[in-house]
Order: sequence, then structure tokens, then C-alpha cells
Amino acid sequence: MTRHGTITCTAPAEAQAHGPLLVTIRNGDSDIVARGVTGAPISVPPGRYFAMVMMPDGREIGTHDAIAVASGADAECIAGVCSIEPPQHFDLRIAPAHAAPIASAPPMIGAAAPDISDVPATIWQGDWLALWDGSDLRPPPLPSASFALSASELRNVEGSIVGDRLLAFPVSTGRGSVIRFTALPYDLAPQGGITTPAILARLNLATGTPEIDFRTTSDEVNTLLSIVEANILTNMLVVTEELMKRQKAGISVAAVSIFGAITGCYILLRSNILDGVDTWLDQLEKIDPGLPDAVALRIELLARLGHHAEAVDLLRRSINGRSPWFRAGLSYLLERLRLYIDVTNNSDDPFSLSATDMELFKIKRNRLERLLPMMDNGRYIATFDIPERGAAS
Amino acid sequence: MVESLILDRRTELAGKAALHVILIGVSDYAHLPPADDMPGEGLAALKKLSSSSITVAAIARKLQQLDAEQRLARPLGTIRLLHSPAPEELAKDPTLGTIGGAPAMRSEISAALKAWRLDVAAWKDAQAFFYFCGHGIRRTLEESILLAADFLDENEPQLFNSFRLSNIRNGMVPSPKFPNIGREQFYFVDACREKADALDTLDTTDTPKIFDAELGSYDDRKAPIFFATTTGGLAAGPALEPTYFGNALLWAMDNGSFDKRHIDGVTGNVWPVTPPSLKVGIETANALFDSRVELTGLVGEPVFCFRRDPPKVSVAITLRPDPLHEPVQAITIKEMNTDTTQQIAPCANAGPYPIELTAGMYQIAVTPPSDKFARTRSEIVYISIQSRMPWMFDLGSAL
Repeated sequence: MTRHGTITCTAPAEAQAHGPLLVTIRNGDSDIVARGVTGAPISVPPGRYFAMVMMPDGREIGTHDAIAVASGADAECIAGVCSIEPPQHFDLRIAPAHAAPIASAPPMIGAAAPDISDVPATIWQGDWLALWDGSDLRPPPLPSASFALSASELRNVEGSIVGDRLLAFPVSTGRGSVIRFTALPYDLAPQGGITTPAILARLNLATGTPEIDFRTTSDEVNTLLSIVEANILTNMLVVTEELMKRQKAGISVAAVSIFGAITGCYILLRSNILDGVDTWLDQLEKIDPGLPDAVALRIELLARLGHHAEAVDLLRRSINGRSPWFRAGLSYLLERLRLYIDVTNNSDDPFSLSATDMELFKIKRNRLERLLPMMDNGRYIATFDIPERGAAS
Repeated sequence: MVESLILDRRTELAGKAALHVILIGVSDYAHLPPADDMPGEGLAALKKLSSSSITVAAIARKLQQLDAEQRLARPLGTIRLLHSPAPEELAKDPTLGTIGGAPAMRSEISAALKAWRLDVAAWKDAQAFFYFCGHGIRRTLEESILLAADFLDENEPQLFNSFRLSNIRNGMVPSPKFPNIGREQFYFVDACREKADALDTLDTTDTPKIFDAELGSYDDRKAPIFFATTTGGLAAGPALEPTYFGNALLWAMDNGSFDKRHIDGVTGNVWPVTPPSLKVGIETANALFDSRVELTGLVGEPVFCFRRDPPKVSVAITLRPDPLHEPVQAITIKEMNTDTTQQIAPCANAGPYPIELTAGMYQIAVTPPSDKFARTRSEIVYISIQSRMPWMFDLGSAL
């Protein structure tokens, strides 16, 4: 009987810091024979194959020649990605602080001189959803202190576990001048000794309108974030499943990067893969009980599993909680609020919601309905364009 | 009620999971002004359309063609068509008057959706296909209010003759009432998602329901939603032709595949079309859609249809460094499966050089080799509609 062999595909040194990347093994007819990740043996029958590594930006790049696999043998290959720009590795513990204390920072923070790609930004802090109760849909007043976001380097921005925080900066769009507010997530990596909330941020000017890309100290998680930005679902799932395997082996990605774990949960829910989400959420909630996205994810998970009473109860208890960082989290909340209000209005009190609870549900729904039309759906992190004061609303 | 079914193979396919389709195309809005009239007040600022009926008819024909070629993941069980063509559409394509189906009035849409749900609910492996082409308003993430042909009837509340997409999706959830509802459901909304300011003046933006909200058991659906435009955007199309989105979808159903692989129920490996590849296909078909099509909902990778041969891909090749150290006589592109080659010559500069390839594995070489460049042969690259263009080959420098 012919034994399978294996192919172990390595990204070249310049790209290895990306962490595990999707490897697709195809035969000469372009049929997919197997899939795996870089650095791990992939089992295939004896034969002649082509191995392709999918880079975070979606390019599939292979070796210079076909790979011959003999029965029981392991063939090793290196994908020819020598033209790939290496990812930058940053460490929160040594990165220069460019964070902006809310009240007292000078206009430009840190040693880096502003260049043409710098944009002055401000951190808004408060209860974001509460702003959308009235008729005034203009942006809230911003603190005068600001700092520079850069397109050329990642900057370390302090986070906070209290209140909603958003990066705010003026931009011109097709709809006129707006203030762009981007939810400011933070990361914690208890296993790496990073317990102070912070995140790395960089301007992305690729579309012509400044946007923010966030990064962490984990190369694997940064790879995942790059793939999310490129919106390649297959690749997202493969990398997420690799992170999940590590969790099952006792190494929680939540301990490496809570931002990475949250991102992974959203990817799984997007594909309606629920297995394992619960464990990740348990770990996240232990590390940071106030994590806003964990609540939205938990509510959605419970609802998908058919545990609606528990979902409603959690929604009720978190009704005045913080806003999720992810666009999908806000969407989940709104859709569930709509559904449960509808069901409660049209059936015999299935969730034992008091009149006060219902009123609160409706207030929250109305806030979200007023806010979400201003959201930029091209960004996975909640980003809102709100006309500047004086502009038409 | 007028019969909306224009194709019914339920008897023939009894005992088999099938694809059940509902297509709604509204051009002739009875209570909206013609396109060249002055806009009305409030919600009457919307106007009649002139491509929705043509679009849904084209989708119906495409699905029947795919079915005849046995390229759908499930055999085509039913098509329900609800359309209200504009007179000029009927003049352009008289078959719209004979294709059958029901007018896209709210009552007809409601009845058809309920019948469609019953068909989908008969088999867990069934697939559902929902396509709406017409006016849509209100812009939140997974939600649109979709307007029927009798929208703004003066005898009814303003939003009476409309319905919410979320109500349809929530009504299609697996539930105690419909435990075997088909788990793979595809939703397409080819409508503007601009929020009409007039909505802010209404005391409620609730619309009458088509389905009762069903609280499901375990929602294990794959139910992607495609929006023709991102929130706040305008969907559009040339008059009397399929909409840009509809046209791009027609192309993507033929060509929107990344890979060749095995799929259940089909002999031999094929090129499957899944929601992520369909999105890229739509965006590839029409540059207008670059990053504008929104794919949301419960996405997953259910296979909708497939092709047996590799799709064609428009490729642009560029060389580096730019400028080149010296012109190259030719670029040779080798297809790794058959070893067939194509040449682009001469290549005096770095390009880009356009070429059409079929999806697959390729390698570039420049000929003749030059000692001024470090490399004359590229790594092997997999080319598909997902590939980022241009395909750049860095020859390096041996100087």
C-alpha cells in the first residue's frame, strides 16, 4: 500500500513573521489536493504538486518549481516571496509613547516630526450612544489636545477600560467635510506581561480618505488583521482555526492578545461557526469583564444557539454598557433589539420584560438606528462620519 | 392572487432538495412620478425606474440556463417572479409581458414569499434565492426597507406597501414551525440604501410584517446577503438594461470562482461559486463595484453554482525595476498544467501588459536571459479572479 507523504511549506525569512499562512497544495490540473498552513506538514498522496502560500493581501505565491512527493517522504519547500515587504514588528513595551493624555498633551506628541502623511487626531471619551438621543446629530465637542497619527509608522495609543473612546479627525469625503470617529480598541496580553490597555495605530491612506489600521504586539494577530482588512474569508478562517487549535492545546490567544481573540470570534460568527466561540468568550470575560465586544458576541452566540431568554437577559443587563468596537457588534445588537422588541410586542411576554426594560430596549434601538446610518461599512472597526458643526446634517 | 410561479418542477423533483427562487423587480411604481418629472415631496422624491423588470427576467433566464447545464448546486425547483415593468421596458423587451409571474404589489409579494418559505421548508438541504430589484430606503447594516409597486398608496400609511429584509430573513430561520427549512439561503438586494430624509418625519419606520418573528432553535444557516451598494449608497443601472449589479451578478454566476475542487454531489472536481467568490466576481465584472458590494449576514461558503472549466481572468503584468535596465525582447507566460506558453513582445518598458488567461498556475520568464537582471524566471503564481493586479515580476539587478 502506498503511504502518503507530506509537504512542509515555509514562507521565506522576510515573511515568516507573518505567522501561519494558508498553504494550498494543487496538482497539475489545478485541483486542490490539500490545505494547511506554513510550517506544518501537509499530508498528500505521492505525486507532483504545486504549493501556494496565500499572503495576507490575497496574493498566492508558490515555489519556482513543482514539488515531487514520494511515498512516506516529507518534501520541504520555500515559497518564492522574496519581494514581499517584511511586516514591521513592534513591541508595546519598547515603542515610544505617542499616546495622548486627554487634557494636557501638546498638539504634536512624541519625537517623530510630522510629515505630509500625518493627520492630527483627538481622542473623544464618554458615552457614545447617549449622544444620539436628541435631534442634534452633529459631532460632539472635542477636546483641544491632539496628537499626530502617522501613515508611515505605527503609534502606540493608550487605551482605557472606562467609557467609550474614539479617535476623531477631520476628513473630506464625497459628502463634504466630516469628523471621522473610529472606535479605539485596546489590547491586553497578560501572558506577555502587557496589562495596560493600549493599541498600535497607523493611518491608511490607500483609499484617499484617511482610515485607521490597528495592530498588536502579536505577529500572528497582525497577520489576521491584515487578512480581515483584505476581506479574504477563506484565509481569515484558516488563520482563526490555527489560533483555535492553539487554544485547544492550552495556549489561549486571549492571553496573547484579547484584540486577536475578539477578531477571531467575529470571524467565526460571520461564517456561523459557533464551536469554540464560547470558550474564547469565557477567557475574554475573565481577563476583562467589561470588554464591550464580548457582551455583543455573547448575546449573538446565545441567540444563534436558540437560547433567547438568556440572550435577552444579558441584553437587559448590559443595556447601558459600552459600545462594541466592531461594526458587526453594533449590528448584532441592533438586530437582536429589533427582534426581541418585535417578539415581545406580538406575543405573550415570552421574556418577562418589564415595561421599563422594554422602554430601555427601545431607547437603545433608537440610538443605534440614528447612529448607524453614519457608519462607514467599509471598515470592520466601527467608524462614523459625522458632518462638522455648521455643515448640513 | 395572480400566480407568481413561472417555473415549477416540484413534482418532478419530489424527494430531492431543490433551489427555490423568488425574484422581485419593481420599475413601474404606481404612485411615484416618472423619472423625468420634478421630484415630489418627502418619500415621493423617489421616482419610477426602468430596469428592474429587465434585470429580474435576466436573472430568471440565467438560473434556468445554469440548471439546464447542470451547474447549480441544487436542481432548480421553483421560480416565483413578481415584477412591474415600466411601459418602456415592455416596449424594449416584449417577452416581459409573456414571461408570466405576478405584479410586484405588496399583497402579491407577501403571498409569494409565504409560498416560497413553504417550499424551502420542505427540505433541510434545499437552497433559497431571494433577489429584490427596485427602491430601498433606510440605511442600517443588515436592513433595508424594500418598496413594493403600490408604495405610497394615498389610502394607506406611507410605509404600508413595503417590507423589511430582516423580517424575511428572520422568518426563514430554523424554528419549531419550520425545523427542516433549507439552511443555505442567498439574499440579494439591488436597491439604493439611501436614507430618505422624509423617514425622519414619520412617527414610526415600522412596516407591516410578512412573517411573524420566529424565535429559532439553533440557527445553523449559511445565509449571506449581498447589497448592491454600501449603506447610504445608490444602486443604479442604464435605462432599459439590467442594472449594473444585476449585470455583474450574471457574469459572476458564470465566472466567480477561485479554485477547482470537489463539491458534494458532483462528479469530478469543479470550479465552485461561493458567496466570497461571487462577491469578488461581481467586483471583477464591473469596476464600479470595487469595494462597494457589501457581503454580510451569515456568510460561510455554501456552493451556489459551479463551472467545469477554469474561468477567464484579465491579467496585467508589470516588470520591475522601472525603468528597466534594458528592454526585454519578450515576456513568456507558461501555464504549468499544460506547459503551453504565450508571449508578449516586444517589451520596451515595465508595462503594464494586459493579457487574458484562464485561472491556473503560471510562471513568467523574460527572453532572452540578460546578465543585467538578477532573475529571469518568476516564482509560480496562482492566477484567479482573486489575484491582485498587476502581477509584478521583479527582475532585480545584476549590475
